[in-house]
Amino acid sequence: MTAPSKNNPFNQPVTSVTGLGCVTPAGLGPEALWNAVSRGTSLLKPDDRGYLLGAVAPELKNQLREKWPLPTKAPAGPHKPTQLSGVCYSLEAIAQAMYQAGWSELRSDDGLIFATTTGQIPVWEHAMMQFLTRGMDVDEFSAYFKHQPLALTLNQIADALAFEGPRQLVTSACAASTQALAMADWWIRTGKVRRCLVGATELLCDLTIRGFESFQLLSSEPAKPFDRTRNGINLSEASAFICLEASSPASRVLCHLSGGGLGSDAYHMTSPEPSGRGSFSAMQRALKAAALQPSQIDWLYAHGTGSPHNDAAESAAIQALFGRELAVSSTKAIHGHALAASGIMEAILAILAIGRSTILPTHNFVSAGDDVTVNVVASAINKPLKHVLKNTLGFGGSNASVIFSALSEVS
Amino acid sequence: MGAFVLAAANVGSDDVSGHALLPEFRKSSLGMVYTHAAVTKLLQATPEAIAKVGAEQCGIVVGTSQGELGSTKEFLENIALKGVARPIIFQNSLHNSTLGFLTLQFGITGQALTVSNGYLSGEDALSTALLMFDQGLCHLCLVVGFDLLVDSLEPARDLFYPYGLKRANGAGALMLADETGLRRMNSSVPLAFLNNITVNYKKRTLTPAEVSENFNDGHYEADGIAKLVTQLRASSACSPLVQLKPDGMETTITFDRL
Repeated sequence: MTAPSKNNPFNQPVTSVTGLGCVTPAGLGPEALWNAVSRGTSLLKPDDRGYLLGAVAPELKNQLREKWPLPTKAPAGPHKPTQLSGVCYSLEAIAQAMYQAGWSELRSDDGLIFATTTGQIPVWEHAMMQFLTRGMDVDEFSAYFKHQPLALTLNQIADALAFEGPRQLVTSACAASTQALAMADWWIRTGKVRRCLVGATELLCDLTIRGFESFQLLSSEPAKPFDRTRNGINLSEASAFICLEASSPASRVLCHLSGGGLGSDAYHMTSPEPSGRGSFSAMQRALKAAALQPSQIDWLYAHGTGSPHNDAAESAAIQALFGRELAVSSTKAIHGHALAASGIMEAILAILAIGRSTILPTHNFVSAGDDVTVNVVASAINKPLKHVLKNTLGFGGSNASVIFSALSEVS
Repeated sequence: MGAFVLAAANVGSDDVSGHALLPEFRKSSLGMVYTHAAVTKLLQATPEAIAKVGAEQCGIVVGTSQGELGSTKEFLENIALKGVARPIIFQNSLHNSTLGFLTLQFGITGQALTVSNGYLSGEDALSTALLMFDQGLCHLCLVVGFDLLVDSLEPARDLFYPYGLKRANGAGALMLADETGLRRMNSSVPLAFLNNITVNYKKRTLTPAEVSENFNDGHYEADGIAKLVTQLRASSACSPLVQLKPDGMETTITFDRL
């Protein structure tokens, strides 16, 4: 436990970040992702329908499947799935994070929180259609379909780590992994666990590509978050994990997770409430949890998908709470929108940014639309960052925000 | 840590017969129909509960293993068979769609999230709610667990369960409150005080006798809440409630009757 302080008035454990790991369209590890974002190197490629997507390179996918053999495999045959990658990506990202944190294992008093929107759906969505149109018998289909439950990835991760402690899975759409971070903070603050591995994995799949296409939300151009000419999002896939601890040697701590907040729009199933009230509430609650004032936030790392409605609503919420001066960025123009994994993947960038005193730029932003009234940053800014707020907005009106703070700012 | 149980409700297929045809559910999934019915039952005794506590102070947690699998199937089937991608069905197809629907219908703007963890989905939703109270994040919380059958996929899903296990559609819901929420509710008399939920994550294969004894009345993955509802309603039943899951895991819910 720590002594009460201005930032920790209730004397709860301080949640420290000690390890980062990811598999993204940039390749392996946080550095690859940081380099792509800071240099403006697009990770997006067109699919056969012309939409720009961020996919993990096929050769890397194969390497990871060789590196992390799975306990169960889909049957060979004419309907062999094209990928079984969710667990492979996850284990790779976990290995990176745990190595950096100096964790040799997950103990039974640790925690594991995972987030995903669609789990391992690429394994079974095509097989399901074959089965329903009588192109596959039930026994063969069941070998694919047993990968349907979202918790399967969570349990396979737990099994691979020989972990028998508490675990949960959050699936609140695009806000899921940010909610998972907030939940991990709650677990540590309440003493439920002293260490927690938090992560998310999202894979590109027909369901989400065709689904977002049906909403006319996909773009064949790189996303232009907050820009006047923004016209849609680019989907991507990623796996990202973070190691959190109640206390650890200062030499291992990258920064602190100061607080998280959730909020609900209660407005529409897919469109955000125009004033961004749910996001406003989430950010406000994160500030309260971190015992911070809006003026203490140095950078707001936005959700900023490039969709007309999302960016407008998020801008309204940011302006209402922080005013028009706070630096705001989105990096989705480079790496795309990884749905449930976006929050934690971008949280990794936020954590690196704190360490490097750099506000990341919003690529492809030229000028704000009339519906965007915040200070969107188009170029990188070198500036010491004490507190950074990471924002996410999701379908179903789910919103979540988390705040990361530099070591010097938390007792 | 802990919370007062103010209301409890279970919903089965009989409770929602015909609901899906009502105009207000025209664009809804079956999961939305079930969970809406469960929350409506919760609010029957205190329709103004959310308003009394304040919408921003009301949280909601939904736990489900299969989520909106039926809508996922329907969306992909429409594309495969008719070449049509229907956005309304896609918006209903995510696990989080049900939560979004409930917050919309009941005007809940507090902390809201969806959890999914197989047979533990109900208990995880409850644990999350207790955590939220412990952190002072809400004064009232609705906790809903649901799972549904998808007829055309059941021949495949049947293979994943122990032989003899009877499955069904269902939703269970609890209205929880802390002391502040209880005071704002004024006239509500709590059913119980929910203390703690623990999980034994060790899996094993059940014997046929265990399957027959524990799962003979229509099981669904997220029925941990529904079983607690049944326990709270049984005048002779007492704490703790120990639940055996089809994969051998066990949960223990402790509570005090009030």
